[in-house]
Amino acid sequence: MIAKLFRLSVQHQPITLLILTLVTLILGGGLTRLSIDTSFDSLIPQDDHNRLVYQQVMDEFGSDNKTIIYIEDEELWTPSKLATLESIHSALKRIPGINRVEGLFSSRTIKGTRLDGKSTIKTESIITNLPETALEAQAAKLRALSNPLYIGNLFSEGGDVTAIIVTLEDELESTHADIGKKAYETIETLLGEHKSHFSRLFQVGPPRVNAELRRSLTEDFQLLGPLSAFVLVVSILIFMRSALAAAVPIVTSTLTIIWTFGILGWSGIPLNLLSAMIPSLIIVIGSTEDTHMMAAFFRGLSTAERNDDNGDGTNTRQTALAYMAKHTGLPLLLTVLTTTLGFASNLFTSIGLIQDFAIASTLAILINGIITVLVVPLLLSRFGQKDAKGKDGNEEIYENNLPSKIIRTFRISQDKYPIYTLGLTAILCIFFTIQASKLYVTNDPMSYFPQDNPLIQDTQLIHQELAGIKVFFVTLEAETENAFLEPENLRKLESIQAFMEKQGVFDSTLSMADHLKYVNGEFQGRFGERSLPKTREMVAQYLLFFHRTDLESYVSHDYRFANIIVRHNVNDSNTLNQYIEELESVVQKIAGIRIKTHVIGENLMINRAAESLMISQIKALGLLLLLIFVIMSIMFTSLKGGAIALIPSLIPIVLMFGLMGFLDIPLNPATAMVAVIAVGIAIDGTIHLLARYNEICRSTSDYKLAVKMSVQEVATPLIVSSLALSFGFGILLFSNFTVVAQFGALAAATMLISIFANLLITPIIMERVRLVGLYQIIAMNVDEDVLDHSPLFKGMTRYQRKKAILISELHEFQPNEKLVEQDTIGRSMFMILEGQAEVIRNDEGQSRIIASLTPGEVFGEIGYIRAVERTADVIATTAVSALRFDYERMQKDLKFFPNIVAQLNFNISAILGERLADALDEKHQPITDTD
Amino acid sequence: MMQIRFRPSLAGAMLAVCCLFHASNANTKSNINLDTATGRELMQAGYDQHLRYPFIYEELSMVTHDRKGNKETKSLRFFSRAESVTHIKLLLLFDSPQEVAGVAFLAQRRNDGALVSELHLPAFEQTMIRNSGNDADINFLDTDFTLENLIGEDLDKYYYKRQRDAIVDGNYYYVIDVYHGKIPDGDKQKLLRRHYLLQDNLFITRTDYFDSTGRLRKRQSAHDLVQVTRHVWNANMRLMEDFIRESKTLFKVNRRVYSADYVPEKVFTAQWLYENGKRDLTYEIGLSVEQENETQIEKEIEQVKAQAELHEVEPS
Repeated sequence: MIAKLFRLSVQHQPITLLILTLVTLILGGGLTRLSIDTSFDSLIPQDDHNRLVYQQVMDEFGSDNKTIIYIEDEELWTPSKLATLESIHSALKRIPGINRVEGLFSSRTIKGTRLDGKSTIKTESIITNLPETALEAQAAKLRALSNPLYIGNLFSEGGDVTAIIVTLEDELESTHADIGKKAYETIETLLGEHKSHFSRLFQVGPPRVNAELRRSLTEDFQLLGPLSAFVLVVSILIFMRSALAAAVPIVTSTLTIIWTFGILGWSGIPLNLLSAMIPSLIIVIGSTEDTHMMAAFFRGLSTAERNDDNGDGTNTRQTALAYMAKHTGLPLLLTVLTTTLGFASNLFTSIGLIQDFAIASTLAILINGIITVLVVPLLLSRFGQKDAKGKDGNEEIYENNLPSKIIRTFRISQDKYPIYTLGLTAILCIFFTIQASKLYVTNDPMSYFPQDNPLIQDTQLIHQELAGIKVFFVTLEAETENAFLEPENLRKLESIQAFMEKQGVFDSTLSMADHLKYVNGEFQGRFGERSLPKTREMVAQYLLFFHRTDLESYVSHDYRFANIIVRHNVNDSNTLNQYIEELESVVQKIAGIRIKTHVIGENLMINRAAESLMISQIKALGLLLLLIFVIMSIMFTSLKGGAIALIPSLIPIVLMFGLMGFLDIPLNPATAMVAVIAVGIAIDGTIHLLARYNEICRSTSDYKLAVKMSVQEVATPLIVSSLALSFGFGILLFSNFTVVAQFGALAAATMLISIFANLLITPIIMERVRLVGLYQIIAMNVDEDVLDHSPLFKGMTRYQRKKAILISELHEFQPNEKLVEQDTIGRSMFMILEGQAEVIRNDEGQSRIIASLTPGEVFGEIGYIRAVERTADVIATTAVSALRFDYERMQKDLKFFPNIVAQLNFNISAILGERLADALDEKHQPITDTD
Repeated sequence: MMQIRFRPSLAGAMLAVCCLFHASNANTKSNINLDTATGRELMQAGYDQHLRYPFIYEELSMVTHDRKGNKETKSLRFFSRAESVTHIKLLLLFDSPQEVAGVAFLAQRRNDGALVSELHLPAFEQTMIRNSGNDADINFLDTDFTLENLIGEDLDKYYYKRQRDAIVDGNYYYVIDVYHGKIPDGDKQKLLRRHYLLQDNLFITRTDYFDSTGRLRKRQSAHDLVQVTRHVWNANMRLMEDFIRESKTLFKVNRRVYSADYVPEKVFTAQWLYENGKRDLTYEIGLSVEQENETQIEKEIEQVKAQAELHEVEPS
């Protein structure tokens, strides 16, 4: 059936071409509808219960969609610079979508003095009219720096730096389309015009981060895909020495990319920063199957060449295609299934960013599978070579190239030190498991960018000179209105802030308590400590010196909710989450049972998502491994088969996690996916290896040889595809995103480790097991009547019979070919499945037919039991298919298939018993047994 | 009592201070040609016409709105006393909520023209705190009004440019733009505000304030106009909307008394404030305006005018 599927496009070429063209055109139309999602919202789990709290807090205390314009100059406080600053400030107000502009020109101070017991309070703007003299400018500076609430927020301590804080309209509520993007661009143009006036002038805020994400994403799309394709082509050309082998993956990848992104466009699934990897993933992952198919095709060519009768090559190509279909069909379907499962596992996360990527990548792998099945046979039937010309998969290719060298190196360990190799691997795994314990998770968007990115450097600068741009809120909710007019509750805010200061990781905290302490200090004529007002009345009366909007971010209108605004620059989720956890418990303790507390912020939710990221990835990995185990166990009708299939996947995972711990690479939305994706891909090589080993085992009882042969055959495509995958993933190192580069590096390393696991470790274990494929059992076409009447299969179910057949060796004999030779010692027993043979005894130069054998009949059972010389020849009179049951092999298989082998042995005993009885009954008759 | 549309009250009373400063040209009705009058002349005429009773006592509600529409109401008393044309005393005294009861803002325009203001915060100390902040842009005691909005503008400090008359909501207005300085300086001058004077009575019912970029920043409007005498009008509500902050403040008169007895000199002293600043709230917010008998008012105004004229001729 699988072979038929492969031949579908070859047999119906015009229709296939038409369908492929139509689908490509239709889906290609969706490319224009593709959208890009760079919002932070996609980093927060949809089911995060904090979303609601966050929205309530935002509603109460205002949007956190703020852009900070950073201005630095040693001569900042001069009339000319202040005039330029004022023109920027004024221009900002005119930009559509900007709600509020706060800074030097909208700030004021409250200054208290006390002389002879008489207090004076002076409320004034920092700058009312633009200073015209240096003295006036310096006076403005003094006013600015006199307000402690502004230090670290609007002004640096020395006053060389100031900030303009721009509040943008909410994207969702704005009447302006793309408000953030447009505002960012307009601000950028404005700042560009004035850049020369200041040492430093730039903006940082969500719109810039989004713009940076968008720009980096576009660049990644333009660079990574083509670069991956180039690397792939070069790799294949080097290793497979075939232009066609290089061209095929490019064709399938291109079609897959068009189909995948077309569907995304039509279905409205947006691209995100992880999507930048998809073209590269399609090219490298998609190419592995193409490479295996091409390798099989070349093997098929050499096989067909040997049997080509007419020599025109047409048959050769068709035979090679049939060979390819037969030998790669099932592995291809399995590998598409497992790779798809690998990517689909990421759907389990509730983080939108990963979900969208999971949908896109799963779709891509499935589509690639379909396109591969349709396009590769079609291309090969039209353009495939007609002769092997050194492209066969046999000995020649293993002589001097890299795969052969790798195999030769591995073979030394496999042959001479198998136990040491396994032991060493186990030690290595233990070491890396310990290293993996150092692993930590981070989900911070700023960590997506490399440290040398101007955005990160600008952010760092703001952090150093003012305070970090990341904001979260500590919100206290009292039971009654006006609760936060009470000094007792204000002291709670003060205590919480004091604790945060002690924690030492947050840049600044600001609350209503700070405002009151400031006014109180000024009213005390600066003689008093900056302490909180002592009575509720004093609090209320000081509050008259603020406008409601001055305090709207710190306290609700009814004084039931209070808010501490915290700014920080912690980029590591793990560290942040630890401090936040500690803070939460302390905040609740300080607030007491009558006040509810929330430590909330978009940034915190994103960082908290790191935990759910970890959990979802563990779940995904566990489920994927279980699924692979089950599928492989079923496919190879053995739990051991399932377990073996997992080994080449588990080793790279352990090593990869260990490597991450060792190199201090965190788990993030990208690196967290490496494990499941790597399992899905690494298992492909294992499937090819096991499938080939299983096939070869059908014709030899030497499992070691079978392993060697299967490794020889599979090694080249496996190494080539793994190296191509490594290079392909390695291309991601050129990504503008650190997380994507980390993903690329780790995935590349994992692919390289999987070569070691698949070709060094798996063979050592593989030769100690014997597998039978379920698909072989299902696909086996034998005359049931023959089996029903065969004494060898007596008492066995159809399934057991088929499995028993598959445990044995199947041999094909041409007419006149000897199945058994007289006077030789053999420990095999045969059963004829098809054809006929004769038993001929040679005595002193005379041959005598002593029996004719038909399907179902068994011979050679004495030799199977005892190593004695054969007493006659058995020669095929027609083409014969016979099953060979080798004694030693059956002894080995007893441990793998105890029930089947035991039943076979029981039946053989019965046959022997029958023969003995017959011999006794007919002791005067001539001996007919060949033994 | 006839009611027209606009015009607030406390601020209106404050504006009266300015009127009194320019009382040299005071006239209860305009005797200039309004069609050809300049901006400055129209402003002066408006101020002159609405010269108010020098002893005013008002009970007010101050309703503040934030951008989310939350309201907070405070009740206040307002005392205005003209000791002479050049010496005016004003007192704004908070009655509720309880926490701010007794908070007082005391302002005086002295004979020498100096404006001094003091604060009394009962919770702080029994002392008057000198308020030296006079910034035109600084909001005043949690309102959207600035001190200048409340006290009124000094006509000599600004240049008034008459614009084309306008019809707004069916009412005819003289429109006057206000700039810094005495003489307009071409394009360099930035429009500060635009007054709308009702042509019927020269009462300013709307003022738009602009920021340095020319963007409409705030709007003050007068509502519930009441005719105090044949020529004098006053507003019972004055609203200030801040479009940048999306907040607004409404002053609403609950009771107004034109009587010297209600604003004795002693209420403007620190001692009185310390002892009597706080009082139990005896009225409820939102009551309709209480005014004395119109005839009585007319009579008192005439008396006070005579007094004012007397003050005017006295050496300062």
